Amino acid sequence: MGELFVSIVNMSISASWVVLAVIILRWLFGKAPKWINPIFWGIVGLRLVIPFSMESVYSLIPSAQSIRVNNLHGPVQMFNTGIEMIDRVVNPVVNASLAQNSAVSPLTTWTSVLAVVWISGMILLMVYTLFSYLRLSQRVDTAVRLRDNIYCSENVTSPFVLGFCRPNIYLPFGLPEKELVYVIAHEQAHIERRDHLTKAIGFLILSVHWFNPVLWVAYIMLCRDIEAACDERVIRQLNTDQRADYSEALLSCSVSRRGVSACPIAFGEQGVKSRVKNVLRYQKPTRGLILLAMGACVIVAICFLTSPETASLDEITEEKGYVITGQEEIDIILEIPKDVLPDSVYTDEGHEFEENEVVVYQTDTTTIYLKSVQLSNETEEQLYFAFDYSYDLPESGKILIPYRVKENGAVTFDFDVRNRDLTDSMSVFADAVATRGQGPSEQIWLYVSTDACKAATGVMKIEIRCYELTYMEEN
Amino acid sequence: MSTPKVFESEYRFCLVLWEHEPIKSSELVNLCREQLGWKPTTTYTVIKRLSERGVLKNENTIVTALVTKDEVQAAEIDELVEKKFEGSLPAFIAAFTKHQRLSQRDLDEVQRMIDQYRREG
Repeated sequence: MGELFVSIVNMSISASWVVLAVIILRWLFGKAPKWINPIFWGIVGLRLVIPFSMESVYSLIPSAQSIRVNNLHGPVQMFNTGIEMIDRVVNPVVNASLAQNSAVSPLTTWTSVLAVVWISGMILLMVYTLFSYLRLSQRVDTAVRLRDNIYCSENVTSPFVLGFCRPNIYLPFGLPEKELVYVIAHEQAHIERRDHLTKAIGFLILSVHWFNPVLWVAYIMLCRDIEAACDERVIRQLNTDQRADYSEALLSCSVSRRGVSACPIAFGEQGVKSRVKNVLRYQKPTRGLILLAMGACVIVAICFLTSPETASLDEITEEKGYVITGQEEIDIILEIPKDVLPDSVYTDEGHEFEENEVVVYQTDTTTIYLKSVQLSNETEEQLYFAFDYSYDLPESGKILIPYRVKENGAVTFDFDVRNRDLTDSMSVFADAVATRGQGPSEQIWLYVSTDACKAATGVMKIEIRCYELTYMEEN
Repeated sequence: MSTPKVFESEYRFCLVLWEHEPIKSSELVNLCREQLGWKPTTTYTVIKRLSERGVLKNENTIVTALVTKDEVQAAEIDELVEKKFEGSLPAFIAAFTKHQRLSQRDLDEVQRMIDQYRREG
């Protein structure tokens, strides 16, 4: 649950970058036909719904995984927004405020709590919406049919479309003849454009991401753009006089007057003044402008539906266009929470963990995790601990490896324990740890005294020495 | 002695009733479906509601009106205000997007824009 929540939050953050871009583009393309705008919002919607994405060098998203939470003690690199200033400031603050000594990772507790809050909010919102819809549906039960799928009801202030499979138009009673024809045309346009479906889907996505205010702004803008697109669709076929009549219909509907003959509120709930201006200024867009706007859509899709590329370790050790600019011996402490070890580790069978399931050390590029634990096949008094590495590499940075790069570029395994102590929160088990050499790929193996492991509580710490490599892109 | 108030849609229903009364409720349901577009359950609900209000009576499934057309007045819109709905957005979203009640000055400005457009095209 906590993990699902974190990935939703990451998707939300990625989408927020897209919203920013769309707002800018929307302003730039003010003269373009208004039906283009909902397409931009559609791209935002896709970003929010599709959990994976292709990697591309054209991606403009700062980071695919802005927040990372692991089952970890000790210093965490939780924020990886891709904006260094933010990461540098926020991560130490997060570390300082987390208790370091509790047996259960406080980060996991936090995410679980937030996940529950998120789900509750989402369910509340959905239930409320369903409720409102049913209530509205019931209120227009007694609506009287005008013709076809158009109904009038005294319970309607401003005209709307209701229903998904067979949408109906609901109008107030007593609309003046002159306005009636335009109001109906506008609502028909909504149906033809399937706006009732678009808004519903948009709101559904919004309820999943209800915690993100940027997306609320996006939804409100989407609604405005839909209204404008409908206006354009109607007036496209009208002459000057008719367009003026349409504008007057918009205007008179916005005057709040009481009495059956008036339509108290504008059809469509959005800014009347800007809509009228839009209508009066409307000109058929040139083919060139349309092509330009569609081109912009494609570019936005490429830039924002893809994720930034990350380099693999192979590319670095094989020095494919990368240069290693420095390496340093570094001492680190591997931290293994005792409570992740099931009893089977004290048997021959042992226990294997999932990749990244038990993280024992982490920087923003390198993750060292516990891979497996089992009884040594040489003696029952020792346990085999195997660790592996995984990487999340930007184009330049520092990584930890159990290898040393020699002058001639050759790479040799070089890793050792700093001391042979196993420490936990209360005591030191001297002489409990030993190395035995390398495993396949980057795996490192340690021998740990069985008795010490059984006796340890809380977080077990092992000090090791490895190398920190600084690399960067060539040229 | 106040005459019962009837909402506009109920008034349309009464028009059907006055034209065909006395009428079996099942036939009334059919007529309402044809002329008003009402579901059967809606018609029965309205019959019940209006009989409670004293507008009609429903005895042994025969429906007759208790008031004449002249006596009935359509309910004034004042009473309906709190039942209004903000269209297709859920109520609290509509609250965010403020209904712009244009000021008189804004109204005049926009009307001028429209008039100018009419003249110049």
